[in-house]
Amino acid sequence: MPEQAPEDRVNNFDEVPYGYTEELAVTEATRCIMCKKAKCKPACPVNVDIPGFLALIRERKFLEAARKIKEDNALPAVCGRVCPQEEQCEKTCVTGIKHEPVAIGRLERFAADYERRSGAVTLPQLPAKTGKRVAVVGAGPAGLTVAGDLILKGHEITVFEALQEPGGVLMYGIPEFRLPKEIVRAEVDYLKQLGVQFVMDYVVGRNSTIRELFDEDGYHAVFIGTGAGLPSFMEVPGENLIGVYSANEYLTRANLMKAYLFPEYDTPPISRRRVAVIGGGNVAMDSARTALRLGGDVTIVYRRAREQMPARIEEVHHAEQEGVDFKLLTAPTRVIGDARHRVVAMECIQMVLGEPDSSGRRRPVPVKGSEFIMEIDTVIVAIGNKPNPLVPRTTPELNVSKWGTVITDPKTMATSITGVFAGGDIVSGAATVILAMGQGRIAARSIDAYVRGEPLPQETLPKEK
Amino acid sequence: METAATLTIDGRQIAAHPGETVLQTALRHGISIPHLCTHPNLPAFGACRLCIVEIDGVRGYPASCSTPATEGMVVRTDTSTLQNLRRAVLELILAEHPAACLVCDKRELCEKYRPKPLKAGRTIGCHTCNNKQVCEVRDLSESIGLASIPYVPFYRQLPVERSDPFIDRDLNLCILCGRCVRICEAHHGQSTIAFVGRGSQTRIGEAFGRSLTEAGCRFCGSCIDVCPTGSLSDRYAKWYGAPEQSTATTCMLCDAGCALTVNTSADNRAAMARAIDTHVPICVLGRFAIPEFLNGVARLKVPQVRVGKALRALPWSQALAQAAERLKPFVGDGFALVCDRTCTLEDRYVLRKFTREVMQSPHYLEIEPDERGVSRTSLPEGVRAALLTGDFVDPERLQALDLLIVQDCYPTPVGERAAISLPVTVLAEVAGTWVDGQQRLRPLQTACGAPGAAKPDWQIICELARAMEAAGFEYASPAAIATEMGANGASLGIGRSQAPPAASDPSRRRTHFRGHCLEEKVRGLRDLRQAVEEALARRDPARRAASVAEAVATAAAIGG
Amino acid sequence: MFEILDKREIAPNIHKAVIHAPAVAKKARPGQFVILMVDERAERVPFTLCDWDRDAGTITLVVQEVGQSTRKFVLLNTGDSIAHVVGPLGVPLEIERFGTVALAGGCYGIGATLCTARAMKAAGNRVLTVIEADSHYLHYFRDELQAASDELIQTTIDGSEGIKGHSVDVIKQKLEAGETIDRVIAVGCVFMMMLAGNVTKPFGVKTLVALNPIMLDGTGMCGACRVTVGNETKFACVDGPFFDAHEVDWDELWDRRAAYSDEEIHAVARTEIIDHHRPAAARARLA
Repeated sequence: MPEQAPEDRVNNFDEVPYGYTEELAVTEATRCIMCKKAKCKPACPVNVDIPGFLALIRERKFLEAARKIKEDNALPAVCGRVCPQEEQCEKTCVTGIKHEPVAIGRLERFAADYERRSGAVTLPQLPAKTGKRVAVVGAGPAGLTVAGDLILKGHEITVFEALQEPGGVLMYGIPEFRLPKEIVRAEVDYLKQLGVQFVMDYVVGRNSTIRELFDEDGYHAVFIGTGAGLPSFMEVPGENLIGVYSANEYLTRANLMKAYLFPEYDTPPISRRRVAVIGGGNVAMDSARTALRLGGDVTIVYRRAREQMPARIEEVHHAEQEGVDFKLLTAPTRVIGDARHRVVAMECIQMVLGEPDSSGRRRPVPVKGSEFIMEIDTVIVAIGNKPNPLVPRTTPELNVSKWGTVITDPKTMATSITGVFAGGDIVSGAATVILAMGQGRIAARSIDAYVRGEPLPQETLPKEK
Repeated sequence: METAATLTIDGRQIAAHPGETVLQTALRHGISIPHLCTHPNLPAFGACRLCIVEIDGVRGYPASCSTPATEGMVVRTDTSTLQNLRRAVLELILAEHPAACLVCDKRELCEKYRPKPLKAGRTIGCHTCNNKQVCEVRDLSESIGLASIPYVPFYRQLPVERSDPFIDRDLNLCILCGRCVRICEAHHGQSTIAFVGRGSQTRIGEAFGRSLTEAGCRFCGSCIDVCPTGSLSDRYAKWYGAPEQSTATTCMLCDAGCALTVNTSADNRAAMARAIDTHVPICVLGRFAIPEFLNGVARLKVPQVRVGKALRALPWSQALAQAAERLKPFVGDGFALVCDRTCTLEDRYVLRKFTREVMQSPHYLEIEPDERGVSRTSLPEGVRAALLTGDFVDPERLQALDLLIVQDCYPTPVGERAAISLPVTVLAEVAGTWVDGQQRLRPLQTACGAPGAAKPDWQIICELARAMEAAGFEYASPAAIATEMGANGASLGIGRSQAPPAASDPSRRRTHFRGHCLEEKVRGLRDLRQAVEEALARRDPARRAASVAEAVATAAAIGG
Repeated sequence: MFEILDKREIAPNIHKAVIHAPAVAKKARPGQFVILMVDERAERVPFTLCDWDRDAGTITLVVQEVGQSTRKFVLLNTGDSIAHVVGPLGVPLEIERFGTVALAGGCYGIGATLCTARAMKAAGNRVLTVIEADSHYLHYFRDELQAASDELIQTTIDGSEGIKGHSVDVIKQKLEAGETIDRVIAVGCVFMMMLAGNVTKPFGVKTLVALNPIMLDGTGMCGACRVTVGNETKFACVDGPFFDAHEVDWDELWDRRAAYSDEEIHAVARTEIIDHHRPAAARARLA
């Protein structure tokens, strides 16, 4: 896949991979050996007919390929870019046993981009209106999937979003150079064209409670997709010094508020010289690479070893190429500030891997006396997010786990309140876009049955076509 | 001829210079008499009545600023009567000036937490006043010992005037000391601003309700410099507060060589430039253009080398190594170096030395900018490689080059074509020596920090020469180069008898610096030109067509 | 888009705006705030809700111009629209019968006192409202607050109206004189709120202050508004904005609020000239 060279891309916010040309796409799609019992399809959380669309690409039927993907995946341009394919479809690819797996993610991206650029996005025929109204709380990947699926069933859908633009983590979390916002907007526009209503600046839990959505606003079902937006902090001394940011704040400034286009946009960027990013997931990589582009020297500080980093391999690889430094098996002990409460340094301690913990990963253990000082002026804390507490706090009958996640039946995504369903990070804790979409898919299916007064389907996907 | 007089002030025998006032004599001897409307550059006015003294044999309380010092005078400056009177005068002055902070009992504590003012849209107290850290009225109220204001304060609620370029004016803070009117008259012959209205309605303004631009203001900024309150302020610099540092240097925006003080903010950026010699005005460029020019967000900050279509950032060592490598084949008269006289003498010395000795080429072109500051030239025939310090050559000619290296401060069409682009420091960022239009040597001091990794011209060339393994370029500083050149003895341009022509005549004002159109980098200059055109068109509709055509022509000329 | 139904400068640099925002008005409660984005490129900035009309679907804000974002807001006129208004955010004030409640307001905080005074009075409290301003011409909402309170005391720093001094001085005197005050709620600049806490601490009177750190999203997902209260980190937007004054780490709040002071000054320095006389021409020129 042709990519921007690292030295170029650290100076811009353009995407790194240029995308396949038609020739490259056809060549790659031809590598698929069309297994009789394709393993890739069930490995996809939304069950995209992978061999089906690859075959269409092979025949140069690119628009049909896009439509085939869209039968199951409402947001293919997004998923092609942000799914951890190496853990899902590409992991099970038979070609991948001896050679490189078929680049399914890149081909999905190719098909979706082709369709969008060709302007030939067709609207499917919509069934008769059912008169049923569904409220979707949160315009992130889960909510958008639910909206996209249910509008196709003829229901009236309204999506409520607290921020000023739809997209959720697709807008504020994932940087422009991984997921251009123009694409997210195009996907949202598609939903609007299908008839989905979007209400921005609306905080369910404050402007309406869930109960009021039913009783006062006349909705027949509600989907909660409010995400895991509550940032975790390290809880070390000095964490409130000026210069310590949650990854959410840092990325929201850069991505949603477009601080990298300052002064065209009013929010100033945080462009500091020496940046430490704490964490090893995709959010940490996104933060580090954004900081690089804003002119910093960036170091990732992660308390475990490289193999245990949960980030997508491609992101780690890109980060390294771009010049991000990695301090593995290192954990911060305190942040040090000057008389004006500004960060000047951070003390860290070395770690070694000890016995496995309850998650099965070897636990890192601090090495006594190995403390050292890093001279930095910015700390970005990317160690995870917890579920947004607002809806649970304002909906007393909603059963919530001790971690703040909404408890649902995994087969139906139904919550403890009849007619209320949930999916995405609010249920699973911080996870991936595709998982959120997968849960949204199940929830949509359940909501459709529920509003018709039918029993909720219990079998998990896939369904045979 | 007036002779020197001996007089007694507070029991001390003091010798006055001929023609001195009592106030001038007292201040010169370290005797402090409170004063507000007086100013060293201006004749006495006697408006504020704070400098009153008691003089034996003289009735009442004369103003010492307008009383000549005469032989045998006996003066008392600090009796309790005078103190009470002065306090009363100050209370009256402050009855129409937001003064609550001056009498607040928690002032010290508040200022411990908030030493800098809040950048509010309207000043309603010291806490929101751009003048807070340098205010003469505050100083005065402390020295006089103001405790309360016995009158009900009156706030006129006049609109804060922010419609003219460069200058903000809040007449709610004006104490009618008249310094601005007087200095405008002293500097420009006829004052653009005047006392408008009468009695309690008096305020500073322009005749017929015109804006400053319509009234012909030259934007020399002298009125701001003498205003004792926050009423008149420099829009760009107003909230930076007391400067971190002030450095004396010389303005390079034309060849008048005016001496300037450049103030920098806490993050080492230029905030404001002012004339050192306040007897004559400087022009709008020297006064207002420098900080905005230096702090533009588009400043080149990192060395870049073109690979394929795009310029890529590289560390200095790598960029210069590549430049050295690529210049080698062009040693000889296939190479030309083009600079203009906005580079310092030291810069030009090493630029020429580099051309002659390292590149062994006779083609060292040093352009003298025209009277508008535009520098243009053409490259000699047969030149295939060039190093330019600015946008000086037609783009078409550059297309024929095999190698183009540019060192500049902002991106330009020339820079966009260059194989290698190197960021330079300019104006108040550089140190060295410069020659003004009268062939006098003027000193330049570094007043503020460089943007990103930018370096001075001479340093870039020396490092490039060393990368090409040339000897004789190991200068540690501009002073070392100046010594080699024999160019010592630069002196600041203080005590000029004449203001630069551009200070009074806008048609003499330069439009370009080092190949850059100043209007594009300093928004206020563009606003100024447009406001002037609009004003002219409004006055004379028949002129409208002509002025539009002229504007189009000017824009075309500027756009190059 | 949220239309500005009325906007006027009611005291020097005190701008009152009535904005059409029915979703906010419907649920607004005393102590809450909204986040505004003036246009699509603006910053997200919090403002305390002063008043609202649930039926008309309008909210009332009091805004002072103190920087780039508030400048943009102040330059809008009646009939203009604001791109985004979201709220009500924050935890509403506890409104109960406490006994005697003293409300202290300074600068924009005077406006914020209005809705609280009304609610506390309706809950059966004796409401003592003490408002402070630098000078008499900076006072506003006198009549409204008189009607909403049992006792209204005005103070001015220069003594030009009411009692000379600060609102906290009045509260201190009352406490020293043995008057019972069961709860104090103070809204104003950090200095004033800090003093409020200092004054009431020896008397053990519960004092709530509206902390105003820099905010970004306002819905609890970024942590920009972190404050330390009682040695714990809280988010002012979802745990506050009102906190116990006796527990607040004031030093940290001072410094965190100054985090972008350099950038703020640079932004204001770059602002285009404001042509009050010919705004249309100015806008056309700047486009």
